Amino acid sequence: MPYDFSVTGKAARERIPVPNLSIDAVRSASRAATQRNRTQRFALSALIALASLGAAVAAARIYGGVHIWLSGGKAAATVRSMVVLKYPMASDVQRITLSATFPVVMPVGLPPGTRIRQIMYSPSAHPNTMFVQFQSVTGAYKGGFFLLDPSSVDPDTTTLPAATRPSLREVEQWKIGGETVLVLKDTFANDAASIKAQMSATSPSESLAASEDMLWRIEILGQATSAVTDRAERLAPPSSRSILLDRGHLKSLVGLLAQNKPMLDAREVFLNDIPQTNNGPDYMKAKYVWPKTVAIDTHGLRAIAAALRTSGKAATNCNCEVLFNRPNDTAYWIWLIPQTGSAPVAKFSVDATTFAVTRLRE
Amino acid sequence: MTRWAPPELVSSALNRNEWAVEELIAAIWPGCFRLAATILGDRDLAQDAAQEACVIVHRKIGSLRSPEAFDAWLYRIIMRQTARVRRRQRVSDRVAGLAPSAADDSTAIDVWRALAELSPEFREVTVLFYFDDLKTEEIAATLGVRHATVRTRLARSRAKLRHILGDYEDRFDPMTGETPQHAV
Repeated sequence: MPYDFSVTGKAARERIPVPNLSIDAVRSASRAATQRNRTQRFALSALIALASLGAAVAAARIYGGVHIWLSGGKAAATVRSMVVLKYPMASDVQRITLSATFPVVMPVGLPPGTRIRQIMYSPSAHPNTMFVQFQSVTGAYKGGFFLLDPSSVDPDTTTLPAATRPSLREVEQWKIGGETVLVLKDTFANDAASIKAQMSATSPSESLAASEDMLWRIEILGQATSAVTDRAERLAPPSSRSILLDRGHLKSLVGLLAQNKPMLDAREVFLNDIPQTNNGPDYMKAKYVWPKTVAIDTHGLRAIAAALRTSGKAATNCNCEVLFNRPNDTAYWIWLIPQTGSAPVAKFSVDATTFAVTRLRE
Repeated sequence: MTRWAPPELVSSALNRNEWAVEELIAAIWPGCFRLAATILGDRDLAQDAAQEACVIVHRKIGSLRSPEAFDAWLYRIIMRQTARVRRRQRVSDRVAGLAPSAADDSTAIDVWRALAELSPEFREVTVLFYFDDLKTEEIAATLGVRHATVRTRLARSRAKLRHILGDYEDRFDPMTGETPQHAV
């Protein structure tokens, strides 16, 4: 008997019984996948430069978390453990350089507008290896410098692990006092000579002071977008701690408040037990440890929620980033900075006790 | 116009309104599951594929540019998830076919039997064309294959279906891509 295949099929499909869907399962799987994805992208972008030097099974016992071989203008590296710090501030760099095993001269003389995107260092307690990664004005990746304790550099390339022999890459190298500087060949082709000259004429403390324009003046949680970040840095009071929350962190606000948990400072992450494969370090399978440093406590989060309520916006869809500051014990200041550059910023003062919100003129 | 859910719900979900995203997922779930079940011919695998599709919608709906793009986007997600599940489970080319429900009459049972006889590539285009009324261009975009490939697969599916179902025919000319006329 002739029949309509389409109509019959559609009707039969509509009769397929549908199991229940657990929206909780979807929600938690989604969050787990997002977190995993963020972590992977973060680790990859942070370590791509170092990985490009090559990798193998490290003799990390002697050299700490990173083992660098350097001979005849060529270098190779293996990575076992390291700390990655995104969007470093002057206080962060001071802490790291003061604990280093060598007098650290920071790179100076880079083109105007260049910012330090992140710093990787190892071992965590007393670094003998640092990698300072820069970004250009547009935010595009530009390159970085290895700053090394000369005693931690292995000149004997015959000790390169035979099983997964890391490739040797051509590098520019120079020595300044007690520091060896390495740059992958061609990374700063036009500026390398000038940077080298300026670094050679600078003391560690002078280089730190000269780096301040390249460091971040506020704590950035999430991803920095130049339009919003520039605005936030101009708005932030210089005398007190200011924190910028991107949309991803804002979305977590509701959940943190519900669980009465603070927002942690996730700019710094410790990577341990990085497994080595023939293709290099497998950062995806490393152990990630975030220090439990509180960025904003639960009272501060309540203040942000109150400001958002007053503005008629929700944390999940305000299309803005939030600049948070506590100027004194009695108040919080909250700025809602739109992601579109031209829209006006809204500033609020929130009472630290009653959470009453007052809109301020910026 | 969206076929999976009301446009205003899709719009709200695009703005990352958490409530709307979850409402949207509840709305699309039956369709996701049934489409996956029709393609995979297995309820457990279909549940896996459809649930993963919903997780992706939950995660990435905010990245979608406009509500109009939602239908095509969701079709692509579901088809990719069914392909993933098939690869992972090494589902054979010929699936057992869904067990007919008690309400299915003999013609419906014939439909399941016929689908089970088709290879996965042919089954995909057949289901999207005849059950979901997608145009061949849309099917090509959904599956990431050339338009000509879709038309060829449809032509071969049609020939095979005619053989399996005996008296089945339709008036679609895959060479011209004319609007389908499903009724015989």
